[in-house]
Amino acid sequence: MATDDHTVRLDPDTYSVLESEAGRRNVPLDALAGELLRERLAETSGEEGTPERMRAALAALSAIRAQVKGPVDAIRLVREGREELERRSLRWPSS
Amino acid sequence: MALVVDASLVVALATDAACGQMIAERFGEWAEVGEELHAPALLPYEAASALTRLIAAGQLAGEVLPEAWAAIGRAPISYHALSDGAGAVELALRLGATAPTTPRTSSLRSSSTPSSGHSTARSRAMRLSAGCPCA
Repeated sequence: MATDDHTVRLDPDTYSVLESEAGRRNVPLDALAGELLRERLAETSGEEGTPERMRAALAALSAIRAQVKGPVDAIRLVREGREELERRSLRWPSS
Repeated sequence: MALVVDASLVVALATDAACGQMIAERFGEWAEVGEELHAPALLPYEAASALTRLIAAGQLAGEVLPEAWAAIGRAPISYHALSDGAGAVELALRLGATAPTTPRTSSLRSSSTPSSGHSTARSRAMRLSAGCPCA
């Protein structure tokens, strides 16, 4: 496969895991990175159409919903998060 | 048609037993008819904040977090970074935005006001409303 040089910045932990897995498999690090990316991207956006992906996502979300205890007000949750962010921003000293 | 979804819808899908199923049905319908879902890149941060609050309140077990986060990430929503802030502000003002919060009166409200810098002539903003009968 023809290749081009590109730069992808990874955090040290991710790089370390990738490097050690490439060593274990005895393959070049960039080849392993490409293989893993292609596999993962095919899972999330490849052959599956949007309705199928949506159905899978909704089933997974439903399973999470069933594990939440007590009533949840999603609007309040999001609003409080936004208000907290706003308060934190207001506390930042101006330069 | 493109729909811009608010974080409250995604949070409700993941956590709200009362409204989640109704929203799931709408999301399913949108996917079936080819509606594209879009959201500001801020949405995952808002979802993370909501999950944090639920775990802190003891309503969601911390062990469920990876599964919950993965489920949210699986939803076919296109996220958009704000690349043209000035354009977004001008557009919001032109559409009549005057305050950061506006009264919400319907259960799944459709609005022509964009909630992010992403908007097209054929897009609608969808959010869960405080008047939702199941909220």
